[in-house]
Amino acid sequence: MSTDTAITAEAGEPILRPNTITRLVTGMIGGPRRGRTALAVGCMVIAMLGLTLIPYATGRGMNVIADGGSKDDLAY
Amino acid sequence: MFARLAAAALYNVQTDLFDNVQTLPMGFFFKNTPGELSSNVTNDAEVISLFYTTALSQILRANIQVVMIIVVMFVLNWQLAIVAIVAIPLLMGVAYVIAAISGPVFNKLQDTLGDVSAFQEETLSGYKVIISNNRGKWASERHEEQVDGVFSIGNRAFMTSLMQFPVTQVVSFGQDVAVLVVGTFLVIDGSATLGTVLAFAGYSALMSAPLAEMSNLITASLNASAGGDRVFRLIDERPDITDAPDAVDYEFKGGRIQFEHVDFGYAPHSLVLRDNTFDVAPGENIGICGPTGAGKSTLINILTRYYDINAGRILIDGQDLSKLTQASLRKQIGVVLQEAFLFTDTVMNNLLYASGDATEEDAIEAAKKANAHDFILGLPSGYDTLLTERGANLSQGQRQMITIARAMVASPKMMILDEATSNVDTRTEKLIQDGMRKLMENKTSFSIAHRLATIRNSSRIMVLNGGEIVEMAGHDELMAAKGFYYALYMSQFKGKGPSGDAADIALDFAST
Repeated sequence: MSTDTAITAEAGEPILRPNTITRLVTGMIGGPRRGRTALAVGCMVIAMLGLTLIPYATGRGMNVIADGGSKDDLAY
Repeated sequence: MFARLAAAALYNVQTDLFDNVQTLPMGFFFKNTPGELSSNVTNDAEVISLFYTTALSQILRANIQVVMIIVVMFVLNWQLAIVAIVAIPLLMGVAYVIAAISGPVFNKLQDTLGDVSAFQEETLSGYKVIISNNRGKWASERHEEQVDGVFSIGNRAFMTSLMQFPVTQVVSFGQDVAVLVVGTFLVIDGSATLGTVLAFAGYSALMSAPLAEMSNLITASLNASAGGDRVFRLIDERPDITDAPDAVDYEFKGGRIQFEHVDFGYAPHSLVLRDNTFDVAPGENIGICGPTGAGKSTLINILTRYYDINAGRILIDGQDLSKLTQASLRKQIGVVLQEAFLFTDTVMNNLLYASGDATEEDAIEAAKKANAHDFILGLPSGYDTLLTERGANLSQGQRQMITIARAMVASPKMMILDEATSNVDTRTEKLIQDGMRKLMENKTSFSIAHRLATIRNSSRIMVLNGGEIVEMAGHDELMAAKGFYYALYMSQFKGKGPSGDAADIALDFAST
């Protein structure tokens, strides 16, 4: 790109530019930050897993107290 | 953890941007004014910041969560799982449609906000012109018009984006109802337990939250995409004028400057300078004059290699300008411009700005030579006085004296003065000229001036007209020739005699 171009705000529709988004994402989680990103994603996965298991565990508990339910329903 | 990654990424984008802009040549800033640039950069940095700090981690979290929920739902009961996920494409479709409608409006809002901040910056910088021309009311009205525009676009943008909440709520509610109805039938049928249906109700609620956010996240991504594109274009901008691969450092040998048949134009087929040939001996002071648009400043712009010439050759001490490193060349050429720009810093730091290894004693010595020492001592904290933005707490003449002292501190081997004494009173001009004379002593120098009295004592005067050198000689010789310079001179001193008026004569004598 040369200095002949004027960098001005472009009015109109924002078009999703995959290259720009990729570059933005890489700027945040790529390169030397991969390790830290992996750790952050790992923590997020664990947190999400815990959150996802809450309704499952609640359902299991409901089976125990429902008509005909027993503690055996807690076993997977 | 994501917040730290986001902050680091934003920091990198901003430093890359600022660092690259510092490498760009003058030409770039003629096409992109600082007001426009800073306005775009501020707004674009804001949307990128939003993308980094909020959107990216939320998109990641939403995807992880939705995938996990789908997996668990299929493990629990595939029939209910199918009922529950039917809403996902529907919610995504709603999010996309709303983002597609509100995205462009948000982008327009951003552009309009950019225009408003550029106008605010311009009017605040030009407050003197506005007050003196009694245009305050006009500025307020124009500002109001722009803010009205922002209000109307903003209203539209937020109304569109607020549509998503009720729509996604209805779809999510429908999903809950469907899960419960089908679940009830499955419980009656014995294909599912009550606990499974309860778990599905929970998952349904858990899934609707990230999906409901999706349209905001899509809008944030679209805006970041547009803003990021502008920012990356600035980061990727490369200077037109680069050092040749075999460029060498300029070696000062007295300061002889030769132009050989030099042609130059800002646009390829429109020449501003035509076939300029001249030879300046080491230590010569060249005055440059001519009507507006004659090419005086352009000549200086190509001498300092802010632009490359179209044809011909420029030699400095026998070395081809195009084969010298720009840094080594500019280190030896000091420039004092008409607009005396000072930074928001102390007087001392402003004086030391152009030279990394100068001492405070050097700065004070230079200030004395530039006739700035006395008034600096009269400032509230002397050399430690903090100057306001662009040195607004000093007069034009005082600012100019500091810029001359600053040039002296850098001790360049050659000097260029571009209308350095314009817009100052006669007494201040005398002081400035005295400083300039000391600055130019024994140095090859060029002084551009509209007021011919300023350059009358130059070794030679170059007269430019229509991009061509029409005359080049000493003042007396040019006056005797009764050519273009004579006509210019007479037009300036019409009715005051060929030697100028009393004040100018006094000034000229004082500066010799």
